Amino acid sequence: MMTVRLKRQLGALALDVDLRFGDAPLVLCGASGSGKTSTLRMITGVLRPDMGHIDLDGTVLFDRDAGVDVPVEERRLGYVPQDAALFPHLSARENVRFALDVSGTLARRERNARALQLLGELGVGPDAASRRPAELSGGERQRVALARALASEPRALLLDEPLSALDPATRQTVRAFLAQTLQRLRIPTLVVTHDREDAEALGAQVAVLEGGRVVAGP
Amino acid sequence: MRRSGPPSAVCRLPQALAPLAALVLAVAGCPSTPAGDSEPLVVFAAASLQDVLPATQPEPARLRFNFAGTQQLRTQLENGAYADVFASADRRHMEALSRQGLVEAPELFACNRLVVVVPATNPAQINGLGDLVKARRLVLAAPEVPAGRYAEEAIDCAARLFGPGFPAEVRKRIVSRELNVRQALGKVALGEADAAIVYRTDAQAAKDAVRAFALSTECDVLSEYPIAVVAASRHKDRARAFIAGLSSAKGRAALEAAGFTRCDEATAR
Amino acid sequence: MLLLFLLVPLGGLLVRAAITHPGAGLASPAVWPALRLSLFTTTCSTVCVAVLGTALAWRIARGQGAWARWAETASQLPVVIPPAVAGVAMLLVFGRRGVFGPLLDRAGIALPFTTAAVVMAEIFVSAPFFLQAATAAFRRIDEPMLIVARTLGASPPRVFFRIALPLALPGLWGGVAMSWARALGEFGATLMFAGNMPGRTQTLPLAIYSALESDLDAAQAIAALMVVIAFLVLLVLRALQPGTVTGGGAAR
Repeated sequence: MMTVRLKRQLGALALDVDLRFGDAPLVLCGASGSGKTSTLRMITGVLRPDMGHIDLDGTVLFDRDAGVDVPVEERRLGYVPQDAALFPHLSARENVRFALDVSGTLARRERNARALQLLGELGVGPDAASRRPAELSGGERQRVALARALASEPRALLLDEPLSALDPATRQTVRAFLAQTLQRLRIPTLVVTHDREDAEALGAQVAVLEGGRVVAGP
Repeated sequence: MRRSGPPSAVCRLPQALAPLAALVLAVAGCPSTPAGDSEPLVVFAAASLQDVLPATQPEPARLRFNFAGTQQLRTQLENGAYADVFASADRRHMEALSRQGLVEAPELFACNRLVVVVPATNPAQINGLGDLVKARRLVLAAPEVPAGRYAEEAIDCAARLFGPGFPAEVRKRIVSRELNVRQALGKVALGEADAAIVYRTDAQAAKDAVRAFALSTECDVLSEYPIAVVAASRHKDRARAFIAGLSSAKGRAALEAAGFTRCDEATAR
Repeated sequence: MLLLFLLVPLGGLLVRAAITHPGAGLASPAVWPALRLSLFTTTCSTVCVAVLGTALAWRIARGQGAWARWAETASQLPVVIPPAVAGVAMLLVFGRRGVFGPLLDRAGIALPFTTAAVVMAEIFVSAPFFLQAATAAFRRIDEPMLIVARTLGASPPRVFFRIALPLALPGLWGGVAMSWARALGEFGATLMFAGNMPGRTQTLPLAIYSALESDLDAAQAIAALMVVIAFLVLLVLRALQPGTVTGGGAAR
């Protein structure tokens, strides 16, 4: 269970969100400029809220009043930004391996196998795994980005417009696949999208953000 | 594509330094305007004459000066730069131009002496040529420029006064051979160098920042300043009048105030 | 047209040097010590600039707010200052009567008129060129990529070395080439701060200028040699430059 209460002034936009999500993914909907991406960035810790409190399964990640601000790299959140943001100088497998190298829980020689296994589970074959992001299809890139996020064994997932860059046909397949994967994972997940159909397919719960505030929620 | 401007200028002028000369020409002279009395007289003069030359003339406003190193001025003249008068700090360059027929018969108008300069505080306690061995950092002009060449001669000559080991001992202390004599002076004025050998006129220009000591008479070096009307001049009468002005009472007074001497005061080199 | 304007004088220099006694100029005793010194000092200064400059450029590129903007502008100042003025300024700071003069003197360090002074002058004039290229290279990296790396648990140094540095490398190489070339051509600040002593502080440009005073042919020969060497080194740097990795934008 993740609870998020954040306030932050961003230029003209007064962001003030209050979200709770746990067993089922929460979809955060809203037009562009409504504060969705900023909300995600504040949860990851790269953007500092003016006020608020973030709690993940009983661990406080941020609390202005208590002076708690867990550094980004210690929050253990899987973040998939818009357009996947794969590391372009690394192959798909090396992108996933980067996360395994950082966590260091596996022995060095097991990491490649684990990276390939993670990619395989998300439908990326060994052939695609050896390619650089520029040589992958849009759908493959999203899967690699998700595999990379999962490799760090996150305690929650944050997905920013995971389907927006895809063409309609790929979009349907990836959407179904993503919905299925999220159901299997069962960790608190927040999905940001501005597309109604995506919202309905991915989330049991939908919150709507408008002008920096949640106007409709679960 | 139309070929124009700089590329064709390079093709016409033989020297590789033509673009530079062409630029200087454009800035310093006006070769295209017709000759007339309203036109200023163009004087190419050695950099060491910068402070004094305007003061020797009754009407400095009608003059246009181009002060630079003698070698640079010579290169510019050889590449077709326009000038009426050329005043050189070195006999060789003037003779070279004279052989090419680019200037009329040169005459000497002033002489300059070398002096040892030290910072006003004189940290190394140097009081003349013989004390140069006390310097931690000695600066000379480069051997390629006249002042540097003369300084080397003076140091060699000093072996006769202070022993055969003296020149080598002095040269060990040279930390820089500056590209012109004013830079050598500047290093002393800033206190970076303990001593330098420069022209007496330079020392005079630095006023209180440095102290100057004449070289001993035996090794005194006199450098000569020849001047000539440029063969291509369109104002030869005025050019001759300019040169005559240097030996007028006003001219002599100005030259002497700047530290120049008459060339007949000592045997010319 | 512009290319022609840039190349024709250089071509004229090479042609003329080739026609008039090409050997005579290069046989001048000033040439080889000056060449060796130029290559040595520019290597030192470029390494210093690349190491320190990469760290500073990264901070400027990632920095937000007044500090980064101020630092970026300030770091470009040496480009506008005439090098000779820079040399005087360095004398006024590191010289005998300079701000640090007494301190250095007590430590037994004398900087003016030394090879170290040449390197310092070269760093001063060439660093802005590297900083500009490096800052631009770091700015081109998509920010979300760096955020992801952090969320995966990577510490800031790890993000820098594993992600930012490899991605910025082509741009950094470009900066290295630019600043090396600027250091090679450096004249004014060296002349003021380091003087002109064959074998110790007389770099190629100073040797050329010295030769200009007496022997035009030698000056042209050395200048032609310098053009050729600069061209060769820039070619080698270009060949070593890693291929541009398409940025995060390629994921579109």
